Amino acid sequence: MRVPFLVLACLGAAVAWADPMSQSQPVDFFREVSSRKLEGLAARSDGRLVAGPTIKSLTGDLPADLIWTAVPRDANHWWLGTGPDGKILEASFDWKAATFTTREVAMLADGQVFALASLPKGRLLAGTSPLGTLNLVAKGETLASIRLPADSVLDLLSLPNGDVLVATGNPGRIYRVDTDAFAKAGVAAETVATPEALAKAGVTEFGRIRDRNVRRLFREASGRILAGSAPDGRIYAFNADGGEPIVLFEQERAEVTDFHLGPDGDIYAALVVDADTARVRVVRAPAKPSDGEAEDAPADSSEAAPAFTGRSMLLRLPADGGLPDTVVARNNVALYELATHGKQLVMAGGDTGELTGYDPVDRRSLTYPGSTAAQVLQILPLDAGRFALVQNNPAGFAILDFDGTTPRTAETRRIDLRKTATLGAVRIDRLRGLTPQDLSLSIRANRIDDELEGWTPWTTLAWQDGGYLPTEPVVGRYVQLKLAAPADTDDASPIEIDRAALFHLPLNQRPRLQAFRILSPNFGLLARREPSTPPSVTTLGQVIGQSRRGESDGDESRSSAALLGSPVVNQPFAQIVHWTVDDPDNDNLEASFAVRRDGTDTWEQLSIANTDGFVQFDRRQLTDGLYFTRLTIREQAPRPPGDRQSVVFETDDLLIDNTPPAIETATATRQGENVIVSIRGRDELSGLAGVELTFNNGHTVTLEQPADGILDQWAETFATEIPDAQLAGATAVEILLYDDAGNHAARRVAIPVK
Amino acid sequence: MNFVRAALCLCRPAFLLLAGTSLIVSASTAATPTVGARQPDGRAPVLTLDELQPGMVGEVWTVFQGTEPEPFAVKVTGVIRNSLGPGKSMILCELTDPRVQNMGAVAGMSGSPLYIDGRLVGALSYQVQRFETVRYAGFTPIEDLREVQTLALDAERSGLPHNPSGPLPARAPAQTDPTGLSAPAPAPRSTDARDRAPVPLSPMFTLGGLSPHVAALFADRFAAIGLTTTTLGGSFSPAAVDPTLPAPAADLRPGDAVAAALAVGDITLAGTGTVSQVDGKRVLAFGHPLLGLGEVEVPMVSAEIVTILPSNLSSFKISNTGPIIGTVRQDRLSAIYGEMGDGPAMVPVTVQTPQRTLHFSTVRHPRLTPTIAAAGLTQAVLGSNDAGLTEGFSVATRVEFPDGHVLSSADLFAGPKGFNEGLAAFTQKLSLWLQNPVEEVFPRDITFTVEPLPANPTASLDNVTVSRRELSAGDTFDVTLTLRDFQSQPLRERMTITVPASWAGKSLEVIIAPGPVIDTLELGQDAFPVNQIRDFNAFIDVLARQRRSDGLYVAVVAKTDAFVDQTAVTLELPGSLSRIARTADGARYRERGVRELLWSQHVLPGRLVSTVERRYLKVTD
Repeated sequence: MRVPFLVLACLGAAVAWADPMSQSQPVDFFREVSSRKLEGLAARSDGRLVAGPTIKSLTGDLPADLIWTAVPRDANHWWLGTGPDGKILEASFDWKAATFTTREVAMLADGQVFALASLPKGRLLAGTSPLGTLNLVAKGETLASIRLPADSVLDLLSLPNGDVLVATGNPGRIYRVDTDAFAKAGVAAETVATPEALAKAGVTEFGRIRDRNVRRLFREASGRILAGSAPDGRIYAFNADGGEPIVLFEQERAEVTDFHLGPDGDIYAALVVDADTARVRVVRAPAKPSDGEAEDAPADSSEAAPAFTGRSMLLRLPADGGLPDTVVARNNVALYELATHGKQLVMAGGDTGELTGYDPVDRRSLTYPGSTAAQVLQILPLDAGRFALVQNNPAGFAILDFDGTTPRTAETRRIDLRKTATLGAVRIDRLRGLTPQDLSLSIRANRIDDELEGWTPWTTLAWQDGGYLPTEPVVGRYVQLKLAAPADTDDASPIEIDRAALFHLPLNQRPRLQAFRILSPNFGLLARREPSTPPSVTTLGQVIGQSRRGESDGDESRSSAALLGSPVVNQPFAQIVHWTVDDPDNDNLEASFAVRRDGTDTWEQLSIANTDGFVQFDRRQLTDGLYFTRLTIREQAPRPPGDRQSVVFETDDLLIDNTPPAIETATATRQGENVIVSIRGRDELSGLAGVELTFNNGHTVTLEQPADGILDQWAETFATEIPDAQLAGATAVEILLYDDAGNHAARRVAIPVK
Repeated sequence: MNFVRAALCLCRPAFLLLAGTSLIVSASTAATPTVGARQPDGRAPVLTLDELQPGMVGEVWTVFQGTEPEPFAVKVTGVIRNSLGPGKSMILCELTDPRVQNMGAVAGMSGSPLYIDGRLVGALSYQVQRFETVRYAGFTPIEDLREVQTLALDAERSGLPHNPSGPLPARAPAQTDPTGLSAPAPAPRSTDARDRAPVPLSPMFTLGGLSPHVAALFADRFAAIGLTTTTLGGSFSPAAVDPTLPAPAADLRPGDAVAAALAVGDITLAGTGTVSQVDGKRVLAFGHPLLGLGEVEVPMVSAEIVTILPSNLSSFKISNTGPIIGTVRQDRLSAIYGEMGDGPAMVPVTVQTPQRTLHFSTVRHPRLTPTIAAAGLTQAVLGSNDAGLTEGFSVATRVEFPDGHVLSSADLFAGPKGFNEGLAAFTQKLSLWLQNPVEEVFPRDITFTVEPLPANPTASLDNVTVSRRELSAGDTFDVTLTLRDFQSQPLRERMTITVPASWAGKSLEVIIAPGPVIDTLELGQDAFPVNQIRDFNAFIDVLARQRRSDGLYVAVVAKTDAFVDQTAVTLELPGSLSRIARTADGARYRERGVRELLWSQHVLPGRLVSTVERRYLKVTD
């Protein structure tokens, strides 16, 4: 026990080879706090809680199931492209009252209005799906409409000269639209496919890609146009005049959902990678048919939208033209749009309303409070510190406010302590921007793995001696922490709540006897040495890789394996008793082994302070008879004496039989060409085991079966018939009669002469 | 009548034992109402169930032959309380009249009014037993019949339009019941288990204009809808319904034969029963449901009885049905209710063959309409001596909906035998067209045009050869089909396909298949769930873009994913948009694995080839 502490002192690290009774559970807030359990705080990738935004939903009626795009008309009015009825709405917001109203501006012939662009003179360009129409709307009327040779219009990008770039899906094309010329094109219901016909409507092809969809367009300051695609997740770069693009990046099965000019001048792209497993296929055809075979039916897919199991990437496209690099990757989150708040990037996503952040300077990720809607499709800046969120499922709006005045709260997930424990203090490494008294903590625990049932009430933790202590005892295996900080503190520096450590004392559990065996007598054990515990920490790997107390490190199994691998030898009168014991808390254990002859009250200790897992003794020190055995296993230091637990196990299975069996009769008779040897023996303690015949010509015979075939009585007769041919020269036979305890009696019998 | 009652009052069991058979015979004979007796009119007072006593003697008015009702005698045995449900009792009477001793309760007599002392008691409606030794029948009390009329009047007073779109039944049964029926219809009448239970005297639906062979082909389909049909019957209605002409004036009386028609014209389908009560133009009849559909709009047509076909198992009236004289508006447990006057809106069907043209109209019903229409077409094809369609023929189907929507198709059949084999599929397709699940829209007109073919259109595809399997952009490859017309020499069809640059890097398939198979591959499904389609236009869209069923399509396809909004397919819509939509409405918006058609060509038109062949191509970058 002393050596490790010396080592600890030497290394200056928190190394403790001896298992301490109390333990601490680190609490990484980035890992342990979900977005929906944050309010006014954000969880940062270094495990800290920092100041974050609040979310407030707006109320109002929305006459559409889906909002696909929102384009601000002014500070309080937006155009909305919606589905599935092809409506373009105007939404009017009262941000202070958190309400909105809508009115229908136009209803297009096509169902889903995926893209809108606000044009001068109150005109609006709208792109739709699944017919791929481009519509020019003004004052509630459709001035011009053409059906592009594509299924969908996915994005619109206004250029400084008034033209608009149109991104289409299936096929992936980019068209340049001269809006003035287009306004004169009128309404055409049929698809306009030829370049000439398109040109008449003021539409020219700007560029084309091989990927199916041009999902997103972005214009760099240089005039270069970036196009993000799907489903091959490519980023194309076009010259300002279009033409053949160069491909900057590719990520298979991915969609480029947004481009954004970051606060550091770099361009960031959000990509969503679709996991193959995200779409659960129910394939009717079991295997790919060989040539000439017909498939019974096409593959079908499950109908309901499954949970998103893909991942998202935030890709940095350096302003200096360097290679793109991935700066953030998140599993099970789909990023939809990017915005800038101060020096942070704010990323809106889904499919559980995730709002995340990235600090390009410190290169840290953040988790913001999540939206109540499944997807946050757009994030539009309102004013300093506030953003408006466009949401779906349910469709609506919310305000993301980084300057909120409501208290900041966070609640962890269930933290598994692995064992039921009495909870101690919660210690937070460092607090910035608030005093320990500003922060209030409460804790609750559960002994079972259930979200709702079995929880203790929330118990306040009081600041005391550098930690937060429960004001009343709390016991449980699963723990949740709740933190609350005021919105404003006196400290001018930003709020930071460092990672915490949750100290706890696992409840001591009794040792458990796994096995107890009294081996056959007359075997001795040459116990193999157990692997020795390193006397000191000598390598970095030992420091980093040491297991915590309570984690299964295999010591017990190694010890057991060492004992079972020990050789045994014949050793008359020796008796081995072996046991296996396990302690859930890895306590040090000692055993004592005692026996008591049946009918007496006196226990005779055969072993004390035994840590070997077996005892070996000479049977001769005990008189014949049946014995009770008592194995007592006790926990030892460092468990405090008052807390030590023990287990006692008694049996009456030990039989001491040092008396040899009795040979009642032994005869050797001749019958024709054979000699018949017959022995009748008796043993009334452990029973007979068999007979060994040794003729003085060297021939031996072992008899394990009595004459009646069943070895079941205290007295049995053994007989055998031996041909003369095997007894050439033999004149006598040495008879050894064994009992089950290994004792034997001997008699010599002469063989009748032929 | 007083004598009859007095005589029967003596018929106590003890007395019967003493008096013997002769007295019974004399009493029965005496109970026979005289032909030409005065029939109570529609305003006859009512005798309630509480006033009814066992042993009372009454007369039932019905048409035995022709159009004149005649009475026959019955004796009240008792009232079986709640036998048809809570509060729905049945009056049990012994049929004492010798004219009905050999026939018992007759299908077609249902609704025949029962009078006792000139007071209306109920309507004959149930056969009580089969093979009975003493004839009995069940009667629906008049209070229950009048309840049906009250329902109709309440509906009229509520101001709601009568079944505005006119389908049958009114409440879009296809969405709730796969059979298209919203209430249990009378079961087929030959079920043994029902021999010990009262069986509604459901009308025998007479199929007019169909040959027995054709009628037999459709008997099971009609039975599945709840109709027991026979061709023993006829029609003297006009060939087509002209909605601009007023219905002929009718003056129904209690006891008159009357029919509810599901089709009129050259093809008729009508069930004949008897009028129970008349109140002005309002008519109660049958005493039991027609099909149990509730609020309906079914033509009410006149009927004359040819004869009664007696049977110990189940007697029925053979009838001829006449022109439309009104509309049946309620089809309820205790009666049908109709109003004399104009008939309901129907679906006109025309079947044109080189020899003749059939005109008939059917009720608007998602299952009856296609079945009756298909029966008419079948009659035109199979039911005449001179159709001239033995080698093969084409059927052009045109279904015109309101607002100008038109569905059309052309199907080839290898002679009458081929038509027999393809009839189920054809009827199924027609049903699919007409069983629109989203809106109460019924066709304005259905037309079949049958054209003979000079030769059997059946052909077999012997071999498919694709000249190259690994290609690059700009390469060409040949697809050669070797096929054999019916009883002819092999012939070859070759097409050369140039690989465009857009195919580079893709693994493709060459599929040779009939149009419907290509449709299925392209859509990723062969049927759209009802909950995926939200409006009639989408329903029509998916049906209208079906490919030709004749010949073969040679198509180069690529496997891909599709986003399906109702029936609109968008290939590989970006996942972010798809997920939002599918989360919002997982039934309407779906993702499917489909085949994208990169190239296709229709070959071998005018032939029937059912083979599906598939070859794989790899196009390198």
